[in-house]
Amino acid sequence: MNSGTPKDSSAGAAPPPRAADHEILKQIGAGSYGGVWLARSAAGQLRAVKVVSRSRFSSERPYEREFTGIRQFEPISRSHPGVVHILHVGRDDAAGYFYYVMELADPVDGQPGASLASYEPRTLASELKSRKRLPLVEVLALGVQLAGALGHIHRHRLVHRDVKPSNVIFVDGQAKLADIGLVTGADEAKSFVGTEGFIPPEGPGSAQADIFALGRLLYEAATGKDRCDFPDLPGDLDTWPTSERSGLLELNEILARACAPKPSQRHANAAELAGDLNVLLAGRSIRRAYGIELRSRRATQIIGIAVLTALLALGASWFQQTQRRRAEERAGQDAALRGRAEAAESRAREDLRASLLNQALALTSSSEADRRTRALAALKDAAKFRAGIDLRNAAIAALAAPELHVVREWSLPAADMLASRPDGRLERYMRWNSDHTVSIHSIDDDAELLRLPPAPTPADYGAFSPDGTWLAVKYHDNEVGLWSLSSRAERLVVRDVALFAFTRDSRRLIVGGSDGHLQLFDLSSGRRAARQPIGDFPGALAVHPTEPVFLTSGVGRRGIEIRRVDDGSVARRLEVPEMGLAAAWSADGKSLITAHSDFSIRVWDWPSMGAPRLVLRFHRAEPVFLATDPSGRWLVTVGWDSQAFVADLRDGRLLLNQPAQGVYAAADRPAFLLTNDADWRLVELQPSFALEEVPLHERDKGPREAVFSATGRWLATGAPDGIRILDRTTRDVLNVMDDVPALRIAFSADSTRLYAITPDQLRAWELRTETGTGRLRAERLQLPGLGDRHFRNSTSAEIFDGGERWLSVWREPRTGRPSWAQGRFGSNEIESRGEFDSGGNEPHVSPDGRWLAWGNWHGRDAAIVRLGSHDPPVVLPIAGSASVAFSPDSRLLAVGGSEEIRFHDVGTLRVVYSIPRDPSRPLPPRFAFMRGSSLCAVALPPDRVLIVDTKTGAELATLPAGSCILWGLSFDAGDRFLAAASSDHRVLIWDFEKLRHELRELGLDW
Amino acid sequence: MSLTEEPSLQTRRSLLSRLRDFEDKESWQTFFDRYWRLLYNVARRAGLDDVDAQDVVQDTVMAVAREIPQFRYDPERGSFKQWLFRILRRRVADHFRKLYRQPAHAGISPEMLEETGEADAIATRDGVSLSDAWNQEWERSVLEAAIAQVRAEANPKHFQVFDYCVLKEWPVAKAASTLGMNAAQVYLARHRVSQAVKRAARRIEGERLKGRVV
Repeated sequence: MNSGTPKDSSAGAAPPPRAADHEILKQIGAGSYGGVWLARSAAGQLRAVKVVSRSRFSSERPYEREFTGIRQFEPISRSHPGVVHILHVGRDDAAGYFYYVMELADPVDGQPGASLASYEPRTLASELKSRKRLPLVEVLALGVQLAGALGHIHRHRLVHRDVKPSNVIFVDGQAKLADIGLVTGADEAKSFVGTEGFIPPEGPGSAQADIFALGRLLYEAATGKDRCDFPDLPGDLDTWPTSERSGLLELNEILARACAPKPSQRHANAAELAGDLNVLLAGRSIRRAYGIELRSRRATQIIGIAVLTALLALGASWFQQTQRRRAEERAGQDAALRGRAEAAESRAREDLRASLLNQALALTSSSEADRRTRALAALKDAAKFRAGIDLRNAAIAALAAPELHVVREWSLPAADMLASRPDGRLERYMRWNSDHTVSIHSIDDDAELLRLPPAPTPADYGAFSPDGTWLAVKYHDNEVGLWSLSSRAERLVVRDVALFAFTRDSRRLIVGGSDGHLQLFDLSSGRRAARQPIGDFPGALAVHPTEPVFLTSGVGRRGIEIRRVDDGSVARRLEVPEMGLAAAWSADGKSLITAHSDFSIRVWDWPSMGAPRLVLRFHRAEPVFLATDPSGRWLVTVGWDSQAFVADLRDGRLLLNQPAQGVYAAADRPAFLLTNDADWRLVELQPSFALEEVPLHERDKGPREAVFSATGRWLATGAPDGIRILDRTTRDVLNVMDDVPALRIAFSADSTRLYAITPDQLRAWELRTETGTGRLRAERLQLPGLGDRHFRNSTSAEIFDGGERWLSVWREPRTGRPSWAQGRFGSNEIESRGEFDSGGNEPHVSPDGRWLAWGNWHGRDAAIVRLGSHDPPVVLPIAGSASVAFSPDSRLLAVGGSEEIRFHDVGTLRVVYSIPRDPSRPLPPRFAFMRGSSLCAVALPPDRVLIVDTKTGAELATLPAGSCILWGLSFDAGDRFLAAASSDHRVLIWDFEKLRHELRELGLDW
Repeated sequence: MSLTEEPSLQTRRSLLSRLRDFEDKESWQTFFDRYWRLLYNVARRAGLDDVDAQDVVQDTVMAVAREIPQFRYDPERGSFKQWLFRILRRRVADHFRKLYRQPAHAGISPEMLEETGEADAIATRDGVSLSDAWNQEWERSVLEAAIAQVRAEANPKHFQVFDYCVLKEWPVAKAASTLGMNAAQVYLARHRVSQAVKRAARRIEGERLKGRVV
């Protein structure tokens, strides 16, 4: 009944309607569209009959629409217990009305049918009128029931539009959503109805609005207050029983979400709301559920189970051993019994081993502190029972997992926790004590180092100067006192302070005042050196680590100012939308990091400040703490969602997260202090072990190839956005080419040249290191006599023989057939040429120059041909898209398909061995062979690298590669490093020496 | 003056029933919702009892409903605030005259009373002049409207922080532990909402001075 204006809003004295098989008893309600009547069915049951009169509508259409709506709703109403069931819909056109028969609400006095004369329906409104508010458990049960009912309605693309206490009736004690007269198609709900206080700011008529209204309804039921008082909590909350009080505060979290002013901040749907209410109903904490990453909780549960299983297994083992000894003593030579006991013991050992392995896997995939250390300890224990590839793979995965290593964990006295802050090296911290003194303690052992005289007002917090000689303390009355720690004398007092910071040289204090002014004080003289307007309440204040500038922003504005340290004047002004309350420069000074009110974190290149280089969206509330390690590579952020996120600032990749409410970085090492109320945790960030991940290309322009120079110092990558060379000693990156995609790249044998095949030509660069700086320089070379025509239409190519010879593949323009030619640099002669019958994808020439092999991505085969001969190619059938590679001694040909990886003897083409592969991941594999040993690395897209012994065909290990598709793989000349180009713009470099050393320590090497 | 000390719902209901039969419903309903508390409070502070204060509100609302079509905002001639105060002051002065039946005032029209500035001499119960009381109550009414607006638009938990820390003047630590937040969050939320209230108050005041009913 959302549309059409009734002609008359009073009920009037309508004659009793006639409803099939029902005896109309009396009118029990009147609405603008007709009346509600009490009726008795032929079977003797009491029902409610709602009558909708045509005369109450201005025209035919809204009346008909209402009738259609009810008819559609009738079956839906009966398929959920939380919706009042419509039992029958009827129509009397002659009398000008339609009606529907519904379940009858219980009477207020609780006795159905007891007194028809005084019948009044029992609704949530009548309930709240007599009981004021409901116990929390009832509210939760009611919420779950009604959210379920709304979910049911919404799934049928309908909305209720008038959820309120008087529209919740009780039928046989069950709460149900009533007044379905307002239910209308979600797409048609246009006109504005509803009840004040239950209507969200954006208006009624959506599923999101129903969720809002239900939140307000639960607020009324739980607090006994009027919905218009939302979000005020009851004034007498302190006197409530503890369980009711804490329960209401938990429910408050859910209601704050359900009734958020922006629809996007509410529960996504009614089912999610029901789920949250169920969490509370089950006695768990929603505050914790909202706050703690579920992943780490799950890991803890798994570990708990794993440890329990392990303990049971140990107990069983001991029991079985004792049994065995007794059996031997008693029965002497009962071999059968002994056999059983031994089997039981070995089963127990296997169980224990398996549970340790599970524990390690759960830890590795969790975000918990010390996850790697603890996982490796479990694997070391498991290896004592039996080593195996499963443990080895788990160990390699654990080693690759970065972790926060806990150096010290301790708790502060609860009263003092909020005012305590660490110094810049995380060696000391200041603490406000309830006797109004500020004391300084050692982070190592909590020993008190210093105590300042008591102050008249409590301290809010304090900050140490970067050199550790000053402590600025902000008091409750917004005064800041500056203390010299050497003399314990107060040097300076500043009033009306909102924010403050020291300059990096510890010679000045920058103060943002609540009056919208900025002041700079000289610490040695205690005098004010400058005063400048900000024009707003200061929002963020950050000091550059090396340059004499700092950042300010105002709470109400969308911009930031970069100001000079000497006089506070504005050097630059930048428009930054949705600027939040925190900003920081990375410790290397190269990035500016800003927090935003849309919960994002943006990273800008300093000083260019173009568009943000990264936009990180980890937080579910506004980020307020930003900290980086001294190298400027690791970023730790904490937001109002009480979560700390650790990210790689180079590409914004999220590494870890932990619950925390504050974070502070050490200036001299990759260490952070994470605070969580009174619990403090000093952690060190340990990056991946024996694995380096280097982002060298733009996002989504993943390199296709990564090759080492002969010396191993340079690593070149070719990608759709060009070529980069990483200097592995200095970490410098040289951008060789960025305008053209690189199809294949190769170093010359002496590493003085780099070749690249691009879609239109072959390019080459001369590589030189600058004397003095040692920096690599690349200079484009003209290659005379190369015969550009061979590369003009290349679809693929290869440079081999230490960069001496080339192979080019193209589609012959006249015939359309894929063709190839092979020649030598410096000569115009073509050594051999031919055409492909099929495939021709990623051709490879054997290192001895005698064979050419290629894969077929569209067919189900690979092929090999002897160069220079007139023999036809030999076709090697294999399932799926195929790729090929030769071993360094040219004796093995690896062929990879979707179901297996095969190694052929090149001479006989006999299959030496085959390794099965998971066919659900059918992308063609890539290969890299070690030169000095029989190891072969096989990249199995999308996420792993398999290490195979080419002598035996044994699988030795699996290297995890996250979830990136892997392209080219290569070992360096010393066979120590394996580089893999991944589709997500990074290059992964494994250090086999370190890896195997660590595996040996664990007893898990191959 | 505490913001929680408010005329009761009872008063509102009673006022509404007095005005129910006043024919031109459209014109006064919204105005009534926005301003009845302001008018009533000022009347009470002037020393009128509940019944007389309700009379004044009723008379003022009816007068405004009649006269508002003639009101045009003109900075030269004064704001809606002043205009409304003039109407209210006239009613209050009328009541006093009725109340005390002072012979000196017999035969003097309210307009003359106004011209001589005598109405301004009406001191309120708390000793401030009627126009000061009006200014205070006007500000309070604007602030209340601003808070009501922010209440609907702010993040509910932030508003709870504001309610506890500013309106109820709780210590930060207590609000933080009750709401399961840390002190930094509480400080920032308090600041955010306070700023939003200030902005809303500025806007509402500006609109109301021009006579728009917000």
